[in-house]
Amino acid sequence: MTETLTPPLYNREDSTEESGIDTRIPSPTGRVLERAAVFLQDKADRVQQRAIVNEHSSAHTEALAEYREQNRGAYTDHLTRLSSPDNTNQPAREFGQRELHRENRREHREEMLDKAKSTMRKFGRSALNKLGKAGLITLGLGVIAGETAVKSTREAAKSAKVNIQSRRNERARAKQERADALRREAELRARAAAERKQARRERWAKRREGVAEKYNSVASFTKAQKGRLGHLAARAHASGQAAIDTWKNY
Amino acid sequence: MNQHPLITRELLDKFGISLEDRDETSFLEHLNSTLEERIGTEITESLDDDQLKALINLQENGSDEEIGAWIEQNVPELQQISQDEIDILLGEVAENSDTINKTQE
Repeated sequence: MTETLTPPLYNREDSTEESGIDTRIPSPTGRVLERAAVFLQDKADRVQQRAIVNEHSSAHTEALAEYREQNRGAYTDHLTRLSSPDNTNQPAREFGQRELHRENRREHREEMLDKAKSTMRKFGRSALNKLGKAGLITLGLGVIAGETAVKSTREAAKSAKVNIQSRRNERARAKQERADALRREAELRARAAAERKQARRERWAKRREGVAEKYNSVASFTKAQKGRLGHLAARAHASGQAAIDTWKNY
Repeated sequence: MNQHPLITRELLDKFGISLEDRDETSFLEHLNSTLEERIGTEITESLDDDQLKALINLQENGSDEEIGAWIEQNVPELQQISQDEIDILLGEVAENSDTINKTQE
């Protein structure tokens, strides 16, 4: 992979064509060029390696996500093996450590959400009470459209000489039209609300991942920090494994 | 159940939904409790892990007032979350109003 740039050489006094041994020494300029070439080659190798890892990671991540869905226990075991200090493949080991940490956080979060499940209604009720009292939420449905329809119905009934049955029919028709208009408006509002909800959830997930990433840059940790992280990861793995076992036995 | 439910018989009437009394009561209870649950779910989704842990602790040890105050302080998008869940639920009711009425026939 690495091609070594041959530095320009000057003939040394003891070099000979017959011997075939090149005993020339690099000139000062040659040495500079040689160092520059090695530096650039090293940089290129690292960029290429990162690209390979990224490409590998991207396809790898998709496959792992699918694997995770199918068999969470085996997925976590796989990450544990990847992140093992015995794994000599550094990019894979770091990937494993990151994903294991992320998985442990995910499991911990899911445990907490499970605990909160029984009282989610309580949170929602509390929110509705507070916001309702403050007048901050509305049903916001077709007030203007309804008023217009009612007004035109009244005026039509006043001005026209119609019998009672016709007026009843007219009121029923107007009510049906109002209901149809209300439903259309409600469906439009619901679609817009669903899009906002999806965007919010994606933003929250990214924010959580961002916080997780801050603690995931293992490479920059000190030895003591790594030791603590390893201990925490082991504990998290144990609790994660316990959660998986519970899940398996559910 | 919420003392002042948001979704009422009047609202169902506006949507042109007409149910027998008993069915209407249980349907309204179902709608309002669904709304509360969905808002609660979104609230928990919006929290990071530390906040979620704090809320769970409060849920175990705090009063409803304290929980409400905490949520108000720590969920800046509470109003938008609640309004959107209301809109989504009402959209579902609107979309299925014919089906709901048909179950009475």
